[in-house]
Amino acid sequence: MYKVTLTLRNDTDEDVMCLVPKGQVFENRNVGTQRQNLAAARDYRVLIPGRSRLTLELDALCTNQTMSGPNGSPGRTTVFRIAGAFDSQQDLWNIMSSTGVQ
Amino acid sequence: MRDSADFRDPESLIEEARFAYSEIYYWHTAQGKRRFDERFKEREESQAWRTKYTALLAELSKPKKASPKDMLHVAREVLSGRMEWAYNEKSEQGVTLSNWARRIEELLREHAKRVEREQVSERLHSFRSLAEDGTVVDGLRIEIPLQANESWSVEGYLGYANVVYHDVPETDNIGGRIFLIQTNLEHTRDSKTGYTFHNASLLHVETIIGEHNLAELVRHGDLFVESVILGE
Repeated sequence: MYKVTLTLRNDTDEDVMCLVPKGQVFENRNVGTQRQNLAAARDYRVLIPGRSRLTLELDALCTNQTMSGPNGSPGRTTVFRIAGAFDSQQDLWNIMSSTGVQ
Repeated sequence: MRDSADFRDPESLIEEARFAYSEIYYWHTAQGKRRFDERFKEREESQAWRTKYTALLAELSKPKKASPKDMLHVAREVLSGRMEWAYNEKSEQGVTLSNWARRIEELLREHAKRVEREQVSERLHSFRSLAEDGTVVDGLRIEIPLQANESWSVEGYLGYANVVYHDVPETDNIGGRIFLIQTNLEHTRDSKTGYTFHNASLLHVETIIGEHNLAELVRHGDLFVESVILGE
């Protein structure tokens, strides 16, 4: 199991409810790296109070079986989540390598 | 003569080739038969050659109407065919007919290369992972064959990939493009005959739509991502 350490800031006066869905993809910030991108291992729901910041540590699985493990490298939130159900690292790799891509 | 790479507009390459063609055309139609007869009148086999040569003259397209295929055909006849006998003759410009023929070949080769590049560029720009409403579009795959003298490289891959995935965000706060670039590379890097790209759907991801979702909150500026660290 890997970790994504995510620090969010709420600059508004209102509390913000935030859902990080299972399968949310976090990518490498630098394209040149050969390190794995990660996907959240389960759903997370947090409330971020107005005018505050919050650091979350999310359990995650890797999406790229042949790449090296992440080692504290900078990442980025993406618009994507994994399209398919998975319960383990092997399930996720099975999805990522399934038909469609040759 | 200007280098073929100096012509910015592909159509101007055709026009330049047409000029070269016209030099060959007017030399042969104005004096070809007479010069042929002068040169070969003593040769027994010349009648058969003359028949073939005059048949070619009769089918020559006028310069204004000649297609690239017509021009290439004539260039080849000049270099190794029924017009080869006048290979070293010079047109009024003082350039040999063989050089005009090579000029046609060079210009039209460059033209074909540019047209191919434009077609590739159009295909790359029309490739989509996301629809207007932000959802992923159905599976799409595109293959870009290697150009002549081009070998597969990561730099080449990244150059195409940034165009292919241009519709996927890559800002400080929210991305997705690097994930697609790296994941697609993981699947295709063993194929060195060209560059193959799959869109988001074929790479098994979908977009996250809905209130309170992290991606939506970040996209709409309700939350700011200060840092993301990927770790063990």
